[in-house]
Amino acid sequence: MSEAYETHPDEARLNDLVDGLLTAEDARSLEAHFEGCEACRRRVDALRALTADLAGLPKALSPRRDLRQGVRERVRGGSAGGRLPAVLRAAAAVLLAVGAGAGVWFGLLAPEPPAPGPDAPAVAADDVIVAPYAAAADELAAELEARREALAPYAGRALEASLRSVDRAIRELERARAREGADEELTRRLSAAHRTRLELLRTAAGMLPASGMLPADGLLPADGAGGET
Amino acid sequence: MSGDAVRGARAGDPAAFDALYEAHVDRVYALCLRMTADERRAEELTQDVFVKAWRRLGTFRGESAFSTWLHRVTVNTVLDDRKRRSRRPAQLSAVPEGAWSGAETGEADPARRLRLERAIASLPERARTALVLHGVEGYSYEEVAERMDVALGTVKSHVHRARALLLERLEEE
Repeated sequence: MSEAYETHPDEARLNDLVDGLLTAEDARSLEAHFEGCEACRRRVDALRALTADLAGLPKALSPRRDLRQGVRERVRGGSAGGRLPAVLRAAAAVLLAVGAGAGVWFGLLAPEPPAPGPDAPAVAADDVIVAPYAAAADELAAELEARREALAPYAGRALEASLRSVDRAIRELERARAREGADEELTRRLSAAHRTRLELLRTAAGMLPASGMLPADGLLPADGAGGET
Repeated sequence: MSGDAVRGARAGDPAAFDALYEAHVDRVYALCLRMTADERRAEELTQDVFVKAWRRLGTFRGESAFSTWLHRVTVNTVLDDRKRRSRRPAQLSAVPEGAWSGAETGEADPARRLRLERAIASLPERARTALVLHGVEGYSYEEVAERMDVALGTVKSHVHRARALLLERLEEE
């Protein structure tokens, strides 16, 4: 199209011109039209000014409240690169050592532990027998994380909230054990807490869609951890 | 700094991750805020992005800059969140004026930028998303189409419509 426009070019054409998507010949014919059409010239000038303003907007804006603490709380108990935190390895091992037990939620929930401090001690990996369950639980946690979006939103949030509660209880029980010694009741509760954590992960794995679904017993096939997103 | 911080964070060093957070949070938040036009949601999504980044650092292979990787995580996080959420009407007043402050200093005309930010926030969701990714963040139309999982022509229509609405609304003020 080399001749000048006799009618007004449509909006899409003007945008293509602004975006540099027209051939040189098409662009010239539009410019020729603008020489005799003030309205179109003004419109394309406005579009050009707008695109420049948009491109010039600052790329960084500071949030009005500090979000760092929220991030810290949510990553606490997790570790980079999908590796399993020591506490979860311990949970798997405790499960092996203690065996299954029902109703651990209720034993865990009373009494409500006070808020944990930042220096709550972690469970030492050598405190318990880290058995083949650790590897299985490792894969379970990594797979759940990689497929987090496959969980229904409410399920993902419920899982995170539940894990936070259990982590909090574990930290407090560990602190009490360090302070008062490993009496039978504390050990029982700690075992229950670790087992609850593992059960939570298993339950969540059971909620994943069928494709690639993990076996709910946590003994998992390796399945890759996804790409760079 | 970034390379060391990434290596440190991958090794599980919280201080290194803190440094990454500090270096990138404003960029992540700005993108979340403009894409959602909802301050509260942008805060939540910014946290989601960093939690996801922490947990997935093991999948970052260093083939691109960390900032590029994080930017992609941010866009995907916002778009995934949108897919999961039920269709809600746009919240035209969800970004208080003060939320647009704290940007780079030395702006020639802060009031003009504020008017533009408000107008962007008032756009329909898809038009706003396409406009922000293409017009503000500099993605090509093809890249936006891929990210939004729509046809190229659809993205162009969204952007053209967004520009027309912006001009209209800026003229009204």
